[in-house]
Amino acid sequence: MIGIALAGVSFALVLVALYGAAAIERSSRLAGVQDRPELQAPKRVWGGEREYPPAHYAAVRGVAAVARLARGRTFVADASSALRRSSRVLSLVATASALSILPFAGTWGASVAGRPLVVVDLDYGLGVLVFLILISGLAQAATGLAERSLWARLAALRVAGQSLIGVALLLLVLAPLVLATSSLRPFDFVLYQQGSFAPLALLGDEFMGFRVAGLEAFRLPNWFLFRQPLTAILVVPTLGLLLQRHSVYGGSNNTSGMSGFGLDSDPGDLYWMGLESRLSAILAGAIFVAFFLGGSAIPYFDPAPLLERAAPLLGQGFPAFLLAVLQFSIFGVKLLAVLALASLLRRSTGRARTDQSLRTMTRRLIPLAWANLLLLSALSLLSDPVLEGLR
Amino acid sequence: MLAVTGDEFAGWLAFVVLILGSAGIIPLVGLWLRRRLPDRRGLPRAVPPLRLGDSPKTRRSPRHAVAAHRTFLTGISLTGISLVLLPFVAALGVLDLSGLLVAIAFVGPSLLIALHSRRRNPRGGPTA
Repeated sequence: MIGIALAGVSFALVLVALYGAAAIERSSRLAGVQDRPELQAPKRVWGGEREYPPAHYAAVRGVAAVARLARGRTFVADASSALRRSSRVLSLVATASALSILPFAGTWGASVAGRPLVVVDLDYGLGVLVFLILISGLAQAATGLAERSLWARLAALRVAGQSLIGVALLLLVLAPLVLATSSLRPFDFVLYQQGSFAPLALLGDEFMGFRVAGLEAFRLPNWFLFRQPLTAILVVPTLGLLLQRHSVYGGSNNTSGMSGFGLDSDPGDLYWMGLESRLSAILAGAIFVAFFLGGSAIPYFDPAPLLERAAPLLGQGFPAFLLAVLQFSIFGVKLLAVLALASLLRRSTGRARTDQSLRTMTRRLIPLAWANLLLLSALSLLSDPVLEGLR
Repeated sequence: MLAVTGDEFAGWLAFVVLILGSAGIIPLVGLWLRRRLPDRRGLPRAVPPLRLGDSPKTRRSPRHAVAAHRTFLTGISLTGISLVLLPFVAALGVLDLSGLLVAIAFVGPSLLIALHSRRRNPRGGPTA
């Protein structure tokens, strides 16, 4: 019963994020280009504000989406529609399952012994997560195999290669997190990031052998974004390259049209492609929030003493429920902020071809990920006993 | 462990069904409307498959296909290495320095073989 309730709350969060992702994507497409004023929406005669076309309004877009799907479907003459449909379903199920493994909130009642507020809490969750991402990527390749064309098959091969290399890179990039927490359980990553740490005092105490009282005052949240900044920088392009889907809309010229597999302009395919693409973006954002932004943690705030103080007045259950709602909301806010930043990043960078992104992964990111892993392994091994011996 | 409790399985099932079910509402409404359209307007229509051309140059030099197959094979081997690496790293976190010797015992021979088997360009350019 608790599992189903958690699934409902997590689903509500994903729904809000889906709507937010669509709104962010749309506003980023319609945002004015500074050096191209002729592309901006015209101004109203009276009032001076922008005069957007009717498609700017969400209700009109909703009606248009249903109307598009009410048109007659199209299908490619010699393509296997069953394989294409099943690969879309497989990809959606894998992405949704990957989302169900991620912890969107802390524990019930903010105690270490409380029940983790995650739909599926797996001890080897990181391995399962990566496997599901791989399944989702290979399902994209299966969409290309549905067509008989040599070009579609070559593209499917390229997509499969990109997924495999992307998964290997993701494992390498996330390995330092496993090293720090000694666990493959995603919820342990979130638990590790609670509280705060003093980076300058830690640096002085651990490696230089001196202690200055004032340095303790400068504290940062114990998030992996601050503890392992290079890993956080590396994971951004990795998630982008691994979970990017062939964009449904042309981002640069405000036109909409399909790209990638299934170029027959079938409205149903367009709908499912858009949904899969946005769900993948949400998965990438949720991984970043859970693993690098402390999940639902509020910086410099420990809710446990507050709950203890509220217990005589309100009991145990109600404050814990309020805290759980707050934690889910905070995760949602962080997720939307990450999606907005990712959208900004995508707008300001060029779109790489498959061979360019593959070259970036194999020639640049994989060596950097290895170097980062070796550096952090060395730092973790040079812990107290070794340093004491050196001093 | 990978074992999932009944509660977790029910939660996972509910989560996936909710996402797929809510996503399917709009196509279902579209299907319902399409069924109510007069006579043959709602029937699916076949479109010809996309043709990107077939030049003699493409037939003669299959470098795209070769590159794609190489990438695919590289991907498989890299994923294998990374999958093996993950438990090693977790063990290193637990064992500290005592795990380092085991790690070197695994990495050293692999590194030696990898360095010796590197293919070099005989003309002195960058490695192929």
